[in-house]
Amino acid sequence: MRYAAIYAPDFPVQAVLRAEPELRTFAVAIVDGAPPQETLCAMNEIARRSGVQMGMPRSLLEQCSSLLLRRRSPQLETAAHAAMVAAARECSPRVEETAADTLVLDLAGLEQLFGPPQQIATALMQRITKLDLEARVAVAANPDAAIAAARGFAGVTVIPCGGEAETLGVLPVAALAGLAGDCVTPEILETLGLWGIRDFRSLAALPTAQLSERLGQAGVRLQRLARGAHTRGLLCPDDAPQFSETMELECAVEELEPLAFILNRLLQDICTRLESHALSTNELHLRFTLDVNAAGDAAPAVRATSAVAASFTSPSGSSKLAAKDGEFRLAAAKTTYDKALRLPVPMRDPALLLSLLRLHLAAYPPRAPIVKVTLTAIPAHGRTVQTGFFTPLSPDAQKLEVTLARIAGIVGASNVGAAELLDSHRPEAFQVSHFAAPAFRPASPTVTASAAATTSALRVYRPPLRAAVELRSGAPARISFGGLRGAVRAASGPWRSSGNWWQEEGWQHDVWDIEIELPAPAASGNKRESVRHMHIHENPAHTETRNFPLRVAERKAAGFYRIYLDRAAGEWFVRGEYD
Amino acid sequence: MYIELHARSAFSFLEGSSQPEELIDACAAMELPAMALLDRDGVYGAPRFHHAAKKKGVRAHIGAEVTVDCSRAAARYPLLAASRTGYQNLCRLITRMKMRAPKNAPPEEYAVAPEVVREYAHGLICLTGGEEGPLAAALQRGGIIRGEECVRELRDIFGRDNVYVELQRHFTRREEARNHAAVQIARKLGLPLLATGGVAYATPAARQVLDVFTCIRHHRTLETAGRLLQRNSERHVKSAQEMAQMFADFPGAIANTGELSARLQFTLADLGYEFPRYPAPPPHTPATFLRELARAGMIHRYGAQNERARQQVERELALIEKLQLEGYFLIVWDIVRMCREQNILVQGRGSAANSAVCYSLGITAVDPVGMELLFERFLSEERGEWPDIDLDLPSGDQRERAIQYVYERYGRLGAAMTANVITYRGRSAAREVGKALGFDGEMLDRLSKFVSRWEFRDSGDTLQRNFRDAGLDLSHPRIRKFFELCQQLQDLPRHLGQHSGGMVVCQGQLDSVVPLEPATMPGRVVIQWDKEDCADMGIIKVDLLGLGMMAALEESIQLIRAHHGDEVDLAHLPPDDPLVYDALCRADTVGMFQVESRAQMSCLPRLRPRKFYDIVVQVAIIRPGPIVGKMVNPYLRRRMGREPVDALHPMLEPVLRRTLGVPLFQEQLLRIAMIAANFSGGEAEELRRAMGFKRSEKRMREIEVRLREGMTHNGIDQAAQERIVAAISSFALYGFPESHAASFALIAYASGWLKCHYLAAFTAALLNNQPMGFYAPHTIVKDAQLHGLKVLPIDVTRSEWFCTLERPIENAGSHAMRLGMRYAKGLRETTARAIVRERERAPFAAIEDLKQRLPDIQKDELALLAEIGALNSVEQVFQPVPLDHGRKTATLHRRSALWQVARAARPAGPLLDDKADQRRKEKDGRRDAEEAEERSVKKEECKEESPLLPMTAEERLVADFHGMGLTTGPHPMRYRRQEMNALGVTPASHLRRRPDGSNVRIAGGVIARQRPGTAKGFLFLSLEDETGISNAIVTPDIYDHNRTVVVAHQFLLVEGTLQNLDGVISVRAKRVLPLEITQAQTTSHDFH
Repeated sequence: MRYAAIYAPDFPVQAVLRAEPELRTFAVAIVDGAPPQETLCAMNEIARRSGVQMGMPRSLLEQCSSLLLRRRSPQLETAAHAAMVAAARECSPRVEETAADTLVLDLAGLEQLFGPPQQIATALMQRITKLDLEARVAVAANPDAAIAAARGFAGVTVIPCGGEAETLGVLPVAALAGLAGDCVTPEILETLGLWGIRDFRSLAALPTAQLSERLGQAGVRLQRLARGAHTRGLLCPDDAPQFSETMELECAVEELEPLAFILNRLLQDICTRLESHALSTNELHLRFTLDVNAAGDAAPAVRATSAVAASFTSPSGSSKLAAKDGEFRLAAAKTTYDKALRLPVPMRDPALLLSLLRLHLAAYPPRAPIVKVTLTAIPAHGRTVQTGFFTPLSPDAQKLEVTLARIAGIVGASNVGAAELLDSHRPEAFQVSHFAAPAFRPASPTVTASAAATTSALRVYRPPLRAAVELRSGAPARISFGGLRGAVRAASGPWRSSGNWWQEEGWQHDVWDIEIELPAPAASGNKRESVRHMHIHENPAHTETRNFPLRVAERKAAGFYRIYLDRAAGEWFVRGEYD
Repeated sequence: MYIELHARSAFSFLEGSSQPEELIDACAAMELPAMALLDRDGVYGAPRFHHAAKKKGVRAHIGAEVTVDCSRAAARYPLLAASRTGYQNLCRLITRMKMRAPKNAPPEEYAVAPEVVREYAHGLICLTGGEEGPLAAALQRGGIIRGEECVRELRDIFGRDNVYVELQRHFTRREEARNHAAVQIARKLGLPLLATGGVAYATPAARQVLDVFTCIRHHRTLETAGRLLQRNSERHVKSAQEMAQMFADFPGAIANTGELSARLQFTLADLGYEFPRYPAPPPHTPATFLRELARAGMIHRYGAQNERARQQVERELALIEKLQLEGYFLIVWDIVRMCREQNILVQGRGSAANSAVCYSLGITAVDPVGMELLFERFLSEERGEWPDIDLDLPSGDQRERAIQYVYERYGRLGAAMTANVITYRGRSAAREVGKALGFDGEMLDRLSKFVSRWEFRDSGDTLQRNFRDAGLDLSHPRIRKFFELCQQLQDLPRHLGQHSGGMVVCQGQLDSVVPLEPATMPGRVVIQWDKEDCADMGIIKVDLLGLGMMAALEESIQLIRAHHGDEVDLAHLPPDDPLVYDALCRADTVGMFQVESRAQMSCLPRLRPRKFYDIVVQVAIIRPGPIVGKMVNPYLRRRMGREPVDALHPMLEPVLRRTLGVPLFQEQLLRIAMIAANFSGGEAEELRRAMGFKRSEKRMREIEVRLREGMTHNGIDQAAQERIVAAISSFALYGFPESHAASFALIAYASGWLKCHYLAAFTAALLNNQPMGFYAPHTIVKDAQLHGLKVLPIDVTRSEWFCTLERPIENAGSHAMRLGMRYAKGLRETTARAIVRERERAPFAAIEDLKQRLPDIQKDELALLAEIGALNSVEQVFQPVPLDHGRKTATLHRRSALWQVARAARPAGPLLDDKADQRRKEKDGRRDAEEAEERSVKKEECKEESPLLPMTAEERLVADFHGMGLTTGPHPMRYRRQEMNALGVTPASHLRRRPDGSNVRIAGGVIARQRPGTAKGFLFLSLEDETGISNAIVTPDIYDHNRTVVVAHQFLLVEGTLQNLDGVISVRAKRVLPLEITQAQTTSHDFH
């Protein structure tokens, strides 16, 4: 058995340099992390020579004038990785994606096709080089020895059978961390350091039985790795059960109905397989390959102006390079459409899943005709529920999800869900979270009593209405908003709040509760027409209106409103109306 | 008129965000005539509040918010002291509350019951409080009915006239609702309303700091703190007009603030503190008893015939009696007496050494008559201040015994330690604010690293620069906010610590003067005020200071007694030992008290001390005062005969004769004023203070006028007057008392004598009392080795917990020092002591045997001992087989031990563990012979060849510094000497032979980096190699260009010009380069 490992050093930098090849002659450093806490995570050799070190903060790096800084780009890394995988698959059907920068290929039987291992390794190297990536390739009798050699030695390394221990002997012990991460604890590394074990050779030479007495099986495993004698199978995605179906279409599909027909077929197959494994799915991934040339306005015209750009186009067609003013950058146009549909409960009913996919596609249609469909289900164990005898039936979770998807299709996904109050003094501070049927709880007498004590509620205008307010002695005297205009009969306030001062979106509000004289009936009608906002009832427990000094008994003769002055902006708004 | 009667300061620790002075400033700016400070459960900020108010002409009312248990929930009763009785009750109430629970207990644990409050209610006025007050708590619990019950209860406790129903308005609905209920209750019960601001900060801007404090208190970030944060910024000091407008519907509530303020008669000026009277044995009064003791002591010290001494003692006694300070002297004498009885070294320091009475009583060891020290520096009638006696005691247990004696003598409520208010400084502020803003720990660590620790700060060494150096971009809004908040947090109180030695005692109950609370250290009680506050409030204190060197001296004496059989009496050391003075002249002073620093070393060869008074001068001259006053060089030039001795005026010649016409001591300054301008002793002391740290321009001008008048009267010409005034004003700021210098010089001489005559004992004692002094242990060890001491490494078969002396077989003449196991970093003392105990029972047969006999020893501890070579002597480890070279060696080595440890420390599993346990049980019942046989068998069983190579010299160095922070082997530089020679590096000991002005290269491990405030940005480096210590001077511009190299690298090569003048050798750096000598993590003593 022979295995080849491909390793791309400084991978985050290489991924960026693929997109900006003109930077190859410069010192380039990649920073990662959320601003303002970005730190150096990778650099090229030129940058390394300039003295910068991993973990340095961005502002310090910016002081090095010769250094070019780029943010880490997961997209570019994914693209580079995909390109490497594709190149590897051209050689071998069995490829292990060990890490973003490391692949291992099973070379069994390939000698007949491509020649001896040296030739295969060289060919692999050439393929990767063509992708504009610098790589190291090593061939060994087992995957881990190949990985260790690829990471440890530049260029192409072919270890003759039985020569693993000899070849790998010079590698530092720390290199084991990349091979057996779970075994290589800081404690073990420290112990080995104290023993003076600096390289694979020293570790390999220790008596195994005595090593086992001291470091246990972890030590023995590390020694096998150091000797290049650790054998294991490749972890190829194909080895795990796959719930994915792909269909290439002779004619591009533009309509939802024929697409639904295709999806239905794929779903039937996937669900049958899921059932045979006693599994369901809680996540569906949909990928369409689009015919961008057929949709004139769907994507900007892309012109590959160099061999680099042309070769960068991956077989999956996920991205392309575009040339603009002599500068390469990742093209905005996408030739694939990717969507993930996350489900609240695991399910495997194809009809239900199809409904959800249809609703989803109706809300987010692809921008070009589809020539290939791939549907992947992420397997999950099905839900088991025991209902209680006295528990009222709640809506079926699966149907509820379909209903929510329908509503989301109409109002937008961000506008559907359950309002959840935030712990903040900021008025109206809430977020929309995913709606789930509330769990049954017996009615609490306390809650009932509290609800009974409530005498008023506030209908909140969202967004608030802009208002013009005249002040007298610091209190509102007249107000006009939404076509209404009137004198303030009574005002209570200001109730002052401010917060988030540490952010740019800090707020300062002076809130007033006011009673205004109701306008004439005709005007009232106008008001109702003009105020076209969604009204929701606030939970009385959170409105703090029980102590409101105005008496609700008067509301027939007057209108009661909550208004506020945004002190930062100096503008008045009406937040809502008391019932 | 409006008076703010409910304000809290930052002394409410994280619940207020302004200093008491800032509150007073705001109060004065708003023209409020008075203000009350009610901090949480204490009067921590009261002295500062009181003094700030006095300066601004504002009346300071004192009170506190006291946590009371109201139906199992804690509420804060705002209590105001109306009279001295009220204040005393408040202090007692708080003390009782605080002493109920350990320090830092949550409020519900220490809250007092209302019945307890009732006991102390007299003289106190209670407000119903704001949102944390009792009324709010009651309303929350049971509406207006419970609210009314609560106020009724308060009325019962404090009396109808002493309860005010409080109204606060911060523009929140909930509070307004409370106010409605409060008004109803007040009307129903006929109680007065009172408007207050519920102030938590001086200005609206300080609300942000309070929010940060809230985050710190609740361990949240600003993002996640939610409604724990302030709702708005309205808790600031408001003007009378604002308050009147806000409470226009309740004008009575505003008017009542004036009336209540008028009722609050108590201020801190009326504290009622009284120092305890010493119980003199009958028929003596304290005065006669002191007189008898002083006279007897005087005869003992000076002999019966010394008339000068007798007159001085009589003069002092007369003044002491006049000022009624007999009790104070007797109490200090009593402590000293106890120490002597218990064989605890003790010595008074500071200005007390100016007193012949103190010397006669044995409190101090310096003869003020013989040295012509000025008594007025210590005590004067005019000053109206308590004298200050500081006692130096050996740090550690001995000092604790003295402290506990004071507690026992005066009762737990009659004596206490003074507090030390810990404030937010650069690093702590940056860390806490960073956490509140949600910045990650790594970034905060980086920032902490860059916040300067230098004493000297150049104009660019600002927090702003620290931020930039740490890679934080100040143009980013969040970073900017971070920076601003860090600045605002500077100097705000963080928590209350304990002063290192200040104790206060009181006649009667100290807890009626200031509240007491438990300290973190068991058995200690601490008051709520710090040393400065106590001084400001006229509370007398005795400083029982722990001095590491005293402990080292004491331990040296014990070691000498035990190993040499010699009895050393520090009071009777040979006075002019040439060995000591020779060492001083050579600046060979590592480890000697007060004369070991780089600056001292650079002065010693020029000053060349040959008698005791020279050491006094040496101790005093390297101080900011003489340096800033430019006194050092004139003195040294005159001493070397290069400049004529010239007193400022012939009249002053007797005063300045001993210091060659250069004023060096505070006493001289006082005498100058007394002789030249006819000042009395008290006036002269007033002059010193006026020109001292807290100098006031106005006072200085007044005193200068008087000084000039006096000098003119005495016929001193204008030019001489100018010189005298200039000398006084430049020097007064940092002067050093001669008496204090003399006390220190005694200890310095003693340490030098011990070092010269009993090096092993002195080094062991020094190492056993670390941290202390200027140098790290590895430098002390290297210095001792250079002086010929054999330092033996840690060995589990020989070492104790502390360093000890041994007489090696091969070197029978002199003692060697064995390093103690306390230097094994990470080894617990209990483990070390168990090792000693077990090996005394029977020697260890093997590491396996050691592990089995010490079941509690941890794996890391065993590995550490092996790593540093401490297990090499355990017999079994001796047969290593190198890995690949095929040759065998019989040398013991650390890796063999590590190999054995790895097996011994690995859990054997339940089956084998049980067997081992069984073996142990059986063993307990066997006889020694059987055990020995078993060990012998075990030794054979355990013989197992180690496949590991011995450590290289570099690896041993790394292991030594990692495991001990020092090495007993060769200095790291010795291994690289050939390379250094090739680079043209001169060893430290050879520099003396090179001519002044030559270009040299020096190299070594950095043992000290200093950037003193007086050195104008110059940085001083001390580099150590195997031959000694060399010094380099780095100019500000070289430092600026090599900041990272100078600060971050442990081994440096410095190239520059040699300055070799008068035996003082240093290199003025032109280039500083990093050196890669070793991977060992050496340390340096930086940033004084």
